Amino acid sequence: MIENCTHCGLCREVCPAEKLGGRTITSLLSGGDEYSAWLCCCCQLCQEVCPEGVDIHQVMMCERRREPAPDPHRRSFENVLRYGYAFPITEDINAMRSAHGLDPVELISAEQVRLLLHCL
Amino acid sequence: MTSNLRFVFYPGCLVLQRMPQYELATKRLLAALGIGLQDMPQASCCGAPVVESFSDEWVYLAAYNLALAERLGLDVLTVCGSCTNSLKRARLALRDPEVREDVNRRLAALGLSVEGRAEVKHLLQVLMEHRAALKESVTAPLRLKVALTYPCQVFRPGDVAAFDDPLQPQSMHELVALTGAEIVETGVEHECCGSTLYTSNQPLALSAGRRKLEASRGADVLVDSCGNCHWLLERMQRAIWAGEPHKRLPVLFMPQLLGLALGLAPDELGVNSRVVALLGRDAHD
Ligand code: SF4
Ligand code: SF4
Repeated sequence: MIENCTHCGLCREVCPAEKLGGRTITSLLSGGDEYSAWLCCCCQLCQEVCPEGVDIHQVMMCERRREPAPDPHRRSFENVLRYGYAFPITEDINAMRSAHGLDPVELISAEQVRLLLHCL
Repeated sequence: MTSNLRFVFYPGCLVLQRMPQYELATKRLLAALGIGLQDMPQASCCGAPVVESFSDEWVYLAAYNLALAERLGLDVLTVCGSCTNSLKRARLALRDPEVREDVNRRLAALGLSVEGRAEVKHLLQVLMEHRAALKESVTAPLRLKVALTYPCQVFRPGDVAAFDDPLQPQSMHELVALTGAEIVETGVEHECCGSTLYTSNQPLALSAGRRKLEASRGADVLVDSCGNCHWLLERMQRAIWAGEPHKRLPVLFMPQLLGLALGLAPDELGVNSRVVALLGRDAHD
């Protein structure tokens, strides 16, 4: 659906990252060549206002997979592959929960994560 | 209580690890409203955008959580924007028989299957469906000035969210209006908080947060409804206001604010001492 893009620039006008001076996927769609898809906040505003119904989120995700990932993002991804969560969450979380008056939770196991995700 | 058990609580990674106060306030508020809720054993990351940024396999994670809810025969209650969006998108994707078949091949290894029966609702959506009960339960009207920030992905894309208005949602205004608190219009309540920029570009994220907090300065407290918003707007205020600590603004999660209006004790809602002090000041005005 990116073929439908007329480079009208509306997505870039509303984009919060662009307003702050970042150049992200909406710069690419508006005809620019300096941008990083990793500077997108995933607020989905561009997609909502695009008159051509371009699936900008999809375009952005394709670009992210092409660009080198910032380290913190890669670490979050690796955490998911290892723990099933974007942070290294382990059983000791239940001590913190109990201190806040919350019941313990049963976490997903590393084995279950391995069965779900093969993308390492 | 089991007869009105309707939801399974899905915290997502951020709230699970760092924001027990949000989970606590959500559970106490829903209990006070008689809305039954249970935990989701073995829940995982929702998949997007963390995994989606690297692989199409994100949908297996989202579908896995939907399968857990479906097995319990319950709908999913979310409290963050991105989890809501990710699980709702996966549920829509499962309407395609090919996607469903592919996902179920993967889930079979874990003894699970999914059809996409379990609905996904963010806390705001559930509260809006119960606003009559909420209104009746307000016993301690609040004399606070409240600024708001809306979680983008609870409302967008509109065809996925199917809740409130995708560009100018009003649900948070409507809920706060029930508490008697005065709403301070900031002009930026619908703008993205910018929290997720932090992992790519810290200065950009901090300036996004500063912008929102500056606009909220006429208020006693800023209210959010998402772990990501809260992380930047509350937890990162020390960095946002480096050298200007007097500008720091208390921030509450929506169920904390509503819980206070229902007369629940601040410590039952994980409300921090700065807000308790504000309430005390108000009570003695
Ligand atoms: S993606 Fe849509 S809004 Fe953006 S430039 Fe293309 S047509 Fe315009
Ligand atoms: S989704 Fe990303 S690119 Fe689109 S408006 Fe939001 S921050 Fe900008």
